[in-house]
Amino acid sequence: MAPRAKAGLSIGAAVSPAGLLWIVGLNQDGKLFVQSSKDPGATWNEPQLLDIGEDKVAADGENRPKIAFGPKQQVVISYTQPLAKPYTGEIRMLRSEDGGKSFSSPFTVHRDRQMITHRFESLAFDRNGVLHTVWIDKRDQVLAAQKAGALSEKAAAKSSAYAGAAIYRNESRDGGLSFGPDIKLADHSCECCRIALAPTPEGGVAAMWRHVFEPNIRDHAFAVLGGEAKAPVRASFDGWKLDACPHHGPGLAPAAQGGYHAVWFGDKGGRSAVRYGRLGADGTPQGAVQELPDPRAEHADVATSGRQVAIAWRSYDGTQTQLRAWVSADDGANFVLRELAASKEENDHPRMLTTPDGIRVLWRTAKEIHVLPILP
Amino acid sequence: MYSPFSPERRLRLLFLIGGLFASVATAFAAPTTVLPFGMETWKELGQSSSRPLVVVFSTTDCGHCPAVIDSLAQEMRKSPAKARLTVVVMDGAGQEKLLRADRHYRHADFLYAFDGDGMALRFKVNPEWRGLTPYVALIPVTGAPRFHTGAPPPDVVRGFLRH
Repeated sequence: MAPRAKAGLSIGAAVSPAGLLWIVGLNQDGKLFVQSSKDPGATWNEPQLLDIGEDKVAADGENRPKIAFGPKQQVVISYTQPLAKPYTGEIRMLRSEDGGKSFSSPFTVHRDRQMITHRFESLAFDRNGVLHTVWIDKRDQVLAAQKAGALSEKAAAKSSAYAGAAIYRNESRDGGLSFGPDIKLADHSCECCRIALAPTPEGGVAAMWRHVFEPNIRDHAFAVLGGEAKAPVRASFDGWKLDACPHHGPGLAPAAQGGYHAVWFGDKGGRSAVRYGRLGADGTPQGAVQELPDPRAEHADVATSGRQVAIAWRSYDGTQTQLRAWVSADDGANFVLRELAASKEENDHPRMLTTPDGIRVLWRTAKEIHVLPILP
Repeated sequence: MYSPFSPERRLRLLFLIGGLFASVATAFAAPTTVLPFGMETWKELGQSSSRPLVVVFSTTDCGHCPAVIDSLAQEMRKSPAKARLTVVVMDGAGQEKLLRADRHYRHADFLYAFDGDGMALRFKVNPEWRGLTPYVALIPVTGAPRFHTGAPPPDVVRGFLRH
């Protein structure tokens, strides 16, 4: 029997308009499933397996399936499908028009169909019901390499004519039934980190990602999607110069007093850490940046509910993984450290979610899915 | 009488073409076997080698890894140290067929696919490793390994291969 690709633990989660917690991920057999809970994670309904044909699903670490709810009973599920060549992929989507009772067959979201990188997608509906999908795309790297005279695919891949990848996006105004053109949001993103999304006060969607700034600095960039195009702004200034893949994207959430709360991993002056900072409404850094109170913190995420801010992360001590949170009741002015859970099992990155009942942390371990409230 | 197609010349030509094919095949041959890399393999690697070992931890989406593997292989070819190049693909379990066909790994003497808890392995290899790839371990026959995120400086690699 041919070896089966390992079923990753990474899950996506969202709250439906009816207030149910939904998750999407791969089961132990590597099948894509959705499941919902009326009592945030205390009990779950039967998992619903989704028919995705022969598609493979990236569900490991920074790659994870996602789910989002739109108006008019619309539900979309997305994932990256790795293709036959190394470093290639397509963003695939399934859609529902009956609140998740049934789903379409999967389809490809972007118009570009080259066998190149289209990976690490993120998606969200804005207040007007427009579905925004954002992803990492290497079409410009291929183009630049060809222009530079790289005749072979190998030469193109090794070409230094174009730093990193690009961020592309598109919009759907009918819940994923049709999509507008692929639009470039930014040249020169990092190639292997998730893109964070957060709602804007105006009802739009903001994005934050790891970028490659001149000359080769892998700090973060911020942009609001849609509307009049504005150039991305630099959101972090660690000054991390390296030629390597961090596999470690940022987190972003709206602040009660305007602007955003952001978390990211980086190296500043030789000190690697997950850091927290405030961003203005345009994404520029505001105030002091703080390291999380855990030198081994990794894959932090952030969520807000009113003035409450919660940052959760995992931390391995050589024996087990700790799930910890830094919680603020005053929009980030002060934080307290909370120990949430621990596990000796293999585990996913923590996911933060704002629900009508407050902030929840979702953490999947090999045997179970923890849904933990963050108490004020 | 001289003939360009005499049996002797044809035989020489065949040997020449065969030799060329063999050289090209060797230069581009990926390892034919993808070995499983478990939690104990790291310890075994360090203990079992009678030759210096260069280990590159990679992932299937690490865009920087192929160039680093190539440059290390190049330095190693120039050196008389007969060091071995090992590549561990951290998310490679279940994708062995793809890895075997992937030309990026053709210079590896040994190709492994890791299956297990990546965070626990990272801690075991070096608690300072924060998951970035490529992550390179230079393991001497005796003594402690040296670790580098990304490409180790060429002089460090040359120094390692000299000892």
